[in-house]
This record gives sequence, structure tokens and C-alpha cells, in this order.
Amino acid sequence: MKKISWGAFFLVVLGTAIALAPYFLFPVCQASVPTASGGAVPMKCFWTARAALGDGGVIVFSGLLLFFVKAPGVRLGIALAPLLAGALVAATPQWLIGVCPGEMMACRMGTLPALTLLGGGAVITAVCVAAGAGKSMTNSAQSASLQAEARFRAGKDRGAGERA
Amino acid sequence: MKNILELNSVSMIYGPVKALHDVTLNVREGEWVAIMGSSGSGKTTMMNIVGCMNKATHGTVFLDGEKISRLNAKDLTAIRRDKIGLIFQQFHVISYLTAVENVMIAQYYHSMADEQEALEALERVGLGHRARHLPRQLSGGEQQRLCIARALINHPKLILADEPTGNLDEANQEIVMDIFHQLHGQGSTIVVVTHSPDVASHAQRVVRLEFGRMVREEQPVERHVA
Amino acid sequence: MTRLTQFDVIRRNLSRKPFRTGILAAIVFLFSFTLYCGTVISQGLGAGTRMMSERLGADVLFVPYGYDGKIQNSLLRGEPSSFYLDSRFADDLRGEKGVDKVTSQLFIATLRAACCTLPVQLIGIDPRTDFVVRPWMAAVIDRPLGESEVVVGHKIIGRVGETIQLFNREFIIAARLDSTGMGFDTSVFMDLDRARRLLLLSDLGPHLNLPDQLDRNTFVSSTLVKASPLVDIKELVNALSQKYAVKYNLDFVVVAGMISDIASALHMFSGFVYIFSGIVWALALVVIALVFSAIVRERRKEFGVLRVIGASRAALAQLVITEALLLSSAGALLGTGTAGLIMRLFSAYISVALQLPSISPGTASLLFTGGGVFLLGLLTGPLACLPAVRKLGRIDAYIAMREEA
Repeated sequence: MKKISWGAFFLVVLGTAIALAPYFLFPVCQASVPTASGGAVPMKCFWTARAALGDGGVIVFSGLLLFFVKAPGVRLGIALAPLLAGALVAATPQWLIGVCPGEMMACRMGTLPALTLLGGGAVITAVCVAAGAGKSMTNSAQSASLQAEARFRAGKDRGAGERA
Repeated sequence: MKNILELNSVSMIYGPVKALHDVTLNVREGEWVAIMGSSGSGKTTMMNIVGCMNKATHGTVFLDGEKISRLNAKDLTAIRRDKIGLIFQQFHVISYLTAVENVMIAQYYHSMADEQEALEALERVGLGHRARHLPRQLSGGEQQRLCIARALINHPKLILADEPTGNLDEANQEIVMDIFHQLHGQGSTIVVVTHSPDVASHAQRVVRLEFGRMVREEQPVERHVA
Repeated sequence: MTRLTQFDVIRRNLSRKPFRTGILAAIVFLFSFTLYCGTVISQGLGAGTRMMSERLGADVLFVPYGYDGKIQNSLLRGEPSSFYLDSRFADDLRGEKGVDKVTSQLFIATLRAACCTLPVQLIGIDPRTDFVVRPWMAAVIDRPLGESEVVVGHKIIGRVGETIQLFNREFIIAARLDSTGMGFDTSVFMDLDRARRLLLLSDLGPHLNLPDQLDRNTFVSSTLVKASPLVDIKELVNALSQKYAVKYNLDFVVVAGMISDIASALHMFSGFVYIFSGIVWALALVVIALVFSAIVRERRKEFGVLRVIGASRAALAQLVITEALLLSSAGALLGTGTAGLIMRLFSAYISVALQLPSISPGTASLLFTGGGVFLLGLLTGPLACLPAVRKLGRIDAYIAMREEA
């Protein structure tokens, strides 16, 4: 049985949650802001939800890639995408775009903390994937070095125990 | 030469069964003694008593001048750790530790783990190039050599080996016996428990056990020339 | 350079069986998470209930018939509503035996939301007779409110000095009240007469569906009564109801009863939390005990080898206990940390969801609770593995070592 890439699995789950949470789990406001010309534009939380949808998609895509890519160097590179996207997910409702200022507004009570938590989770997962890939790269290098050393010394010292 | 090991009228009784009857044996410092006997002869029981893994029911046992026959379990563990190097037929290494770590774990419980010393011990048995390998990556002979390195790391007074070549092929048997000869040449005291006349023939003295009694001592017919 | 300590041996063992390690840590995680969340919510509810008891200075609230639920929702959950009562009832009460203080309030729900706000509850209070809001309003403003000034609850948007729009008119925020955990946090307070005028002059004014007997210039929403000392509230309510209920079409809420109901709900919730946490803890103990028993059995040979090469029984016991300690500390740390994060981030959401007065505990209290929960979680592993450690002490080193793996 193939070893499961838990990092990839969690990224797919988190990315999906990030994309869908502002629409289904903690829906953002539906009201609009009136403009000077008499029109109406959606409120900040609407755009935050849109941004989260995109970022969530990036994280899901990265997770799916990680299911199939095994080379540690490539996995390390792929992990950068959900790391940055996760940071964006956490930063968007807090600073980059924001949500409604009212403490009792649904987007502030629910959407903002949800995206902060999920974004942070994506960052942590991406860091773990990157660390794992980095460790694999280090182990491969060490293993190659040990094997070379072993071949050299085995040729030189094989009889050491036998001659003793 | 002083006696490293003294058994005086040692008996071991398990209920109705007398595993050892009145055994008296002295092993001098630097001597290589083989204890031979068939299955059920009491050699394993004797090994357990000498190796501080069990206490005799009757009689006294002295190891390096210290009476060990009435010590408690905690003190026996300390004696075993400080003064005896044990080598077993089944190797008995820790599967998830590398070769050098298997040696270091014995150091850890004795005093302090020292990687350099452990590596040197592995070099002495020809395993320096396999220090970072796990036991499953070593052959049977290499695992037994690892056990020897582990047994030696704390500079024991007595090396006690139970069928050290029992699971090895002929080539590896020779390697292991060569190492024993090397150790003996360096002054180590060795007691080997075996049922194999070949293995016993390497010793200076062979003690035969039958049904828990010491029946005779003899000089081996052939000796391995270093 | 390779270092080797007992800790390294433990770490290797835990990482050799990641699934088992994960499951055991997850059980402790679940326990810590549940206990922390439940405790913090209980503490919040308790603080909210106490605050409510302190803030609601009245003993009885009289409202129009059928609106007892509305006023409770407004007070507890901040659900805005509007209802109207004859102000002459308050005048009649002032002469009644057993009545110490009487005041009236006007409740108006604002309907149109400005950008990024929700409808708020506007409460008009009589500055001459109010004994409920004025005492704690005095802590933040010690002068009468100006014509265009309001005092806002803790969760209303806007800083002191900024303006807030109500019924298309702008008012200056003169002060902000401290958090109460009640509906007052989403309320705006102004002079009762001013509030009435505002309502009548707004878009709603011409369509106000007042009962015929109410004077458009003097109507209120509720009348609050403080009983004289030692008066039986139930008897007072009965007497007043008999005399005035039909005349003024009244309903009433006994504050002590409302608080008592909330306190009962809180006790039930707390009880549920602690029983559930206890069950999870017991489960954690049992599972960890069983697993460690299996671990000791599985590693008999390894332990035998360690004993033979010089490890004492105490050293092996320490190894097993430390392994359990590491597992449970990871689970407890993650559980408490995650719970703390969620409680902090979702505190407002949880308060609203509970539909009960709730005030988040302070940082010191949260840390203290977290520390206690973490400690309990931390001890779970070592406690649970004690039977296995006892079994370890009975292992004969040589026999265990010679067993086939």
C-alpha cells in the first residue's frame, strides 16, 4: 500500500474549506454599499470571500500536485504556493481587504476567525510538507555519501575482521 | 593470577527439579573456559547465575572478589552492567537503533554514551564501515560482531558468551572465534557456554556438565593457533 | 555527532508507530479540547449571569400583553423590538404599597441598516427616575446627555466623539458602556422624550400602530419596578396584576425568575460539560492503559535486552512513563492551544449561538484555566500507563529476551 501523503490530504481539505466557508459555513453579508451615483457595490466581506475562493483553489491545486509528485526538491517548491496562499487567506480579512466593522456582523463573528484559522492551518501544513521534503533531500544526500564511503571502506577493510 | 569467577557448591532448585547440583568452578583472570553440555545439562542455568540474571538456591558465587550470590536484583543489574559483557546466540540487538547506537546504549546505562569510543569498538570487530546501518541491514555475522562490540564497550572483567556461533555459518563462525582469540590474547577472561565441540576446542579448558552436575574438566584436543 | 539519550530512544519508538502515537495523542487532545472549551464557556456564562443580576436593578418588568418574550430576547440576546405601553401605569404604581422605585423605558428597533451595521435597539430612559441604566452609565459619563447625544453599548460601532445615524438623523456618541454580555451591548441609550420625538418624526411616525388608549406624546414600552425591602415579589406581582393587568393590558417578567432560569441552564450546561469531559478522560485512561499494556507485551524482548545490558527496572519504568508523558503532553498542548485559539477567535460567535448572557473571561483567567487543563491532560498518559509499568517490573529479563519476537 502506498504511503499516504498526509500533508497533501490536509492541504486539499483546508483549501476546500477556505474556498467554501465564506459561502456556506460562515456566509458573508449580502447587503450592498450605496454609491454617490446612486448605485450599489458589494461590501468588503464580499470581496474577501472572492479572494478566499481563489486562494483556496491554489491550495487545493497544490495539494493535488503533492499527491503525485514524489521528488523532494519539487515538493519543496510546490509547498511554497500553499504557504503563501495560506498567509494571504489569513491576512485578507484582517488587513488586505477586511470585513464589516460591526462586532455582531456575521462576517466579523464567523468568516474572519474561520479564515484566520484555516489560513494558519494551511501555512503550518505547508511548512510541515516543506520540512519533510527538506529532510528527504538531506537524507538522500547523506545516504549517497554513506554508500560511497561504505563501498570505499568495504573494499579497503573487508578483510579487517576476517584477518583479525 | 587471581580468580575472576568462583562458584562454590552452587545448586539451583526449581521445585522438584535440581537444575544444578553442587557445582564448584574457578576461572582465573585471563583464562578462556568453555562449559559444555547437551540440552538440559544445566549450562544455561549456570550461565544465568554467572551472568547475574538469576540467583543460586545454594552455594556462593564470587565475581571479581565480590560475593554476588545474595545480592538483590538491583545490585545484580549493576554488577552485570559494570563487570560482565554478555554475548548471546540470538544477537539481541535493538532493531530501531543503528549499530553505533546499539553500542552506545550499553554505554548510556553504564556511564555516558560516547560516540567516538563506540565507533572504535566497532572498528575493532571490523564493523566501522557499518556504524550507521540498522541491524536489519547487517548480516548474521555482522550482528554477532555488533553484539561483541556492545559487550566489550564497558571493559568488562568477564566476557560471557552463550552459543555465540549457534546461528552463524562456518565462515562467520571463524570470524567470531578469531575475534575471541584476539580478545583472549589481549588478556580478556572468557567463558563460553556451548554444546559444540568445535567451539569448545578453542578454549584453554573445557568443563562438562551432565544433568546439572560437573562431570569432568579437560584440556581440548585441538587448539586454535592465533 | 550522534547523541544518544533515553529521550532519543523514546522519540524513535514513538515515530516508529506514527498511527498509534497519533491516536493516543488525539485522545488526550480531545479531552483537553473539550474540557477547556466547556470550562471557558461555563465561566463566560457564569460571568454573564452575575453581570445580569447586578445590572438589572429592577425586580419586575411590566410590558404589553404577549411581549414578555420580546423584552427577554432584547435584554438577553439584543434582538431589537418595539412595543408600546401606557405611561399612566407608572404614575399609578408610584403610590402602591410595596413599590420602592418605578421607571419607564421606550424600546425602539431601528429598521434601516446603514452600511455595515445591523438594526440596533434604541432604548429611551427617563433621566429623572431611571435606576437601572443610570447607575452604570454614571461610570462612563457624569453629566446629562445633550440634545444630540447618545450613550452606546459596548458592541456598537463608532468611537466616543464620532456620530451614529438613527432614523436619518446624526447623533454624537457621548460615551460607551462596558461590556455586559447582555442585549445592552448592542443598544443605544438616549433621553426617553427625545427617543419618542425621534420615532414620531421619522418615517415610521405616521404609520405607528399605537393602541387607541395611548397618548402619542407620552407612551412608553415597559415599566420597571423595584420592590421595597423584604417585600415578597410574587405577592407584589400578583397584587399589581390583579389591579392593573386588564386596565393596561399587561404582561410581566420577574427578573429573579429570569435569572434563575438562566442559572439553571448554566448549571445544566456546566454539568454536561464536566460529565462529558469526565467520560472522555476515562476513555483516554482506559485506551492508553490498554495500548501501553500491549506495548510492554510487544517489547518484552527489547526490554529484556535492555535489562541484560544494564538498565535497571527503574530506568525501564522511566522509559515507559516518559513515553506516555510525551504522548499526553503533545495531545494536551495541542488540545489546549487549539481550544484557546478557537475560543479567542470565535468568542462573539459562541456568545450569540448560546443565546445567553456571556462575558469572555479575562486573559489571566484563560491562562489559568489553560494551565490547569494542560496539567490534567499531561498527567493522563503517565497515570494510565502505571499498570503497564507494574507489569514491566515483573518481566524476567533473560526469559523475555529469549522469547521469539
